Amino acid sequence: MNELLEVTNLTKSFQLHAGLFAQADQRVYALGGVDLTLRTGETYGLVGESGSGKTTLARTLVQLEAHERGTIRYLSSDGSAWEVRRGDRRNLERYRQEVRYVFQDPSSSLDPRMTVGDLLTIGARQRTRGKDRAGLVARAREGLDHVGLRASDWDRRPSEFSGGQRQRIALARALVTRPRLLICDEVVSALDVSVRGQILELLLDLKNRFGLSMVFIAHDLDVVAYMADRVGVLYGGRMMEEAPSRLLVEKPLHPYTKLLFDSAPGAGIRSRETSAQKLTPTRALTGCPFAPRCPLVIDRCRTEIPLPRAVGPQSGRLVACHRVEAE
Amino acid sequence: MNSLWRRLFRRPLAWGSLVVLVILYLAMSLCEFLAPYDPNHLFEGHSDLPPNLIWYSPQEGLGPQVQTVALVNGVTREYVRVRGEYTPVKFFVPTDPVKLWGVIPLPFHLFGTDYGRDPAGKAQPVFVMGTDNLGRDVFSRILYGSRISLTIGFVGVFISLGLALIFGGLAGYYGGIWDWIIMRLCEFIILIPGLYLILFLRSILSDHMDTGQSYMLITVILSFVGWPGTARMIRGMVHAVKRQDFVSNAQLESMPSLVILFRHIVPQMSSILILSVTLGVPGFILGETALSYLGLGIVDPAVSWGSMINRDATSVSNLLSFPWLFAPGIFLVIVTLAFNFLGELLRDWADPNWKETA
Amino acid sequence: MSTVLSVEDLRVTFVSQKPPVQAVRGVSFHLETGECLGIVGESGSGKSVTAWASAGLLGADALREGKIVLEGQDWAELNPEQRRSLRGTRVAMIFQEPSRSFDPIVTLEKTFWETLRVHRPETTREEARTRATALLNEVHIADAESRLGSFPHQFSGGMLQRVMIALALANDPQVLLCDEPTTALDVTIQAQILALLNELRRRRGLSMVFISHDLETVAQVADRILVFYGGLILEEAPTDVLLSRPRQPYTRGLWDSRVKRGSHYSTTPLTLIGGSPPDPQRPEPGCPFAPRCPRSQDRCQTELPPLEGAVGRRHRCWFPLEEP
Repeated sequence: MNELLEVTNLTKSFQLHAGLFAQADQRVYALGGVDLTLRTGETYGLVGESGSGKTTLARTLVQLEAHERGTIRYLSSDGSAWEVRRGDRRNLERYRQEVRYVFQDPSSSLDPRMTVGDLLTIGARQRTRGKDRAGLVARAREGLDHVGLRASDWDRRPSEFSGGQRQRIALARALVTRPRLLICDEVVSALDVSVRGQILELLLDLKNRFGLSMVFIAHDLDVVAYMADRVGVLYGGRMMEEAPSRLLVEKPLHPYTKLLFDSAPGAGIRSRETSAQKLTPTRALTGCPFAPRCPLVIDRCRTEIPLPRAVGPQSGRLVACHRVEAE
Repeated sequence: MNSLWRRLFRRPLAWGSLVVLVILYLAMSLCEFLAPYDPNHLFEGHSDLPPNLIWYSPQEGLGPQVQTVALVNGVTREYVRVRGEYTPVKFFVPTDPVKLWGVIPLPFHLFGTDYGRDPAGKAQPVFVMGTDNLGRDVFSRILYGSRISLTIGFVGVFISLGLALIFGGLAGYYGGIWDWIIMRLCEFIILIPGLYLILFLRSILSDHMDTGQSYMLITVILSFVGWPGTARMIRGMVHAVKRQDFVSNAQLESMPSLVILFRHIVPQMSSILILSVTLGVPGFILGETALSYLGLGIVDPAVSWGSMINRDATSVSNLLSFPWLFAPGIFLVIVTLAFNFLGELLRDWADPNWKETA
Repeated sequence: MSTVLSVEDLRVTFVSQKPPVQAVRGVSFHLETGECLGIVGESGSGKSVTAWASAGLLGADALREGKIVLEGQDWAELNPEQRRSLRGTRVAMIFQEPSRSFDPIVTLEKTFWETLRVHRPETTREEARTRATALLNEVHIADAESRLGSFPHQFSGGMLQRVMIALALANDPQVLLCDEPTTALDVTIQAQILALLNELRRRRGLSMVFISHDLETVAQVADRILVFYGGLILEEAPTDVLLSRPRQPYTRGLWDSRVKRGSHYSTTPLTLIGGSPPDPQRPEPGCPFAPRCPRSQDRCQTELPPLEGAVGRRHRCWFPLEEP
């Protein structure tokens, strides 16, 4: 088996109001049954706007949020496969060492009161109960070197670094446990334009050097298409289209993917949409989530949820749309 | 920390407060050396004597000295000065054996007179702040009393803050049913009028206790009444901090919850905690005073500022005739104000929105 | 064409921190009637501070030098009352986070009423209602009349940005300052807002300053672009000239380092600008970009190059890129 991570029918909703007087049916459907397969060594790109469920998906992958339905199967480094669940503490702990989540904003994901050295080692120190301290420190220092920071940065605090350097610290911290998979959630969104490229390059470098697999999440379709081997486009908690990166850029099929491409500042073409707005679904969907904005909408789109299906002669392309013909 | 020092120097009131507090706590820790007499030594024939330290006399010249007095009316405690009889106050006088902190034997006190060692029997004792109705030196009593009054604040704050940290932290971090139970408990304790609770707790416990026991008891009672408010505040802050990414990050690294709570969450609140210590200390001092004032706190022969005020400064006539007996009250006011000024500085310093102006 | 806004040798220093933050270190430019001037720069480049200063919005801790003239009136010579009347009727500003610009417990209708009354105190509630409906229609908010009773939290980010634009236009300003108006929005919504701004500009003949950290976004709306870096203008040129024939290495680097459509890591390496942006509390003595510049020489480190060239096509560099 070559699949590192196999996600099927992942579902998650949040209650809109908490407490005694909450309306039971007022729920935000963040993920409406997402399937996703990540092969070893592959970078899977996830693109979507705010509210598309991409961050919820990422947080569910590391079980920061528990999912309601569906399964996450992980192929561990020792060859055994297991299902990732909240309750399975022993396996979850190991899973979280091999699968590291990198947050969007390094200034909030790094405790401002700790030194770099503490930040890199505190997690592992707890786990090993203080044993092999020297080895741990050596590994952490090596990590600093890998991300392009100096050894003298060890005793400094996050506030003394620029945004890009902070993200490097966050990456060094993720590397300490020798992960196999990095989940990068909008890791370059908070950075300056001229620094963004440096971090992207660093990610590619780390991927090569350590043979990492990666889930790369961003709202910028061009960046995701550049970084990823395969790209999934999320909207309203559902996968709209999934395709190898090049194929997607050459010929987007789903109307939403097309809109995303047209809207990017690099496209040069103005969007024809003038005032459509995104809706946050508070009830279970009855049709395609994109239907209210879709230029190609037909009645069927509002009554029947389109399921992802293979399209085109090359395998590996999935589109969830009633209007896209299977070629 | 640097900015704290800079700010301290820019605020004379806070700066002065810090100096006053340092001096008082130093004096407290060295009270066996600084106090000229034992706090319970009765000077016969010297009851209700006003402060008798003077700085000049034609006979002895300039310098600290004491003029001999004679009692003329035993009922109204009227004294007259005896002309030409002065006793010089000396430094490092060898006196009755005392042990500093009960361990180090002291060969002498900071100051005193030759009273009791003068072969002619003429020398007089020195009373910087007069004596009470049993002829005990008020100054010495204040110094010894600060041992209880100044420490009860810190001990009490640390007990109540500890309770508040544990309960508020657990409620905020775990939430759910623990949150509910702890918060209802807090509300229950807050709802009971504090004074009645204190009186009730004190009354069910034995009133024949030695100093150490009643000291501990008072501290515990005051802490017990004081923690719920702080716990609610801490719970709210933990609630806010635990949503931050670095806490999620720590959870992903499988850190135990208690480590997350105390290594990651509590340090974020450190400046607020420092603040609540400085503002809490005077509260406890006043609490002890109130209890002692009601006769439920420290009782003779042990001495605290509260018990002194209770004994000597509770009637207007007493205060009018013997105003120096109010000295412990003045000390109390000074300490309370000093902690408040210092707390104000720390509050500004801890406020993240407070920007230093050039 | 005439000049509506001119800024001469603007310097802004925030003295509340030590050492002081030299946010803007000598910036001169002008805005013609009907023009859209783009300002591009990274965080800390001084672009937003320049806009705030142009609208007379800087706080008391900002030390301002230089001259800002709006339609012949110097901000420095006006009293607070005159400044207030100038804002809104002559110049208006929209910001990055629309949700922070609204009072959460006031309905839209009341917000509009209050804004209109600043300049015309006799405005009645009815007039305000009619005017607000017209303005909301102008920014393409469907069902404008019925949405006037809504509170800000009932709108999405994109809708709220539209409302903010409508509010900025309420007193018919001639100059609209847009400080990163699309940065906090989703790409599809960004495109809508850009289209809306373009449309309003044409219809109302607005003069606009459009600020963003993203050169591609600025290029979509601006006629002329200023490149800010380290509190200075490094280059100024008409949009197509700037993109095709930049003279400053930073401009070239910024344009080249974007991720191009259709490029992939397996085939195209990224073009990078090394290093990190300068610290406004400790500015370099020479060119601010010198430490990161591939063409940097000794002179660049020690001597600040002047802004050379004709008006509308200027660059600040000792060793500029050749004109092809």
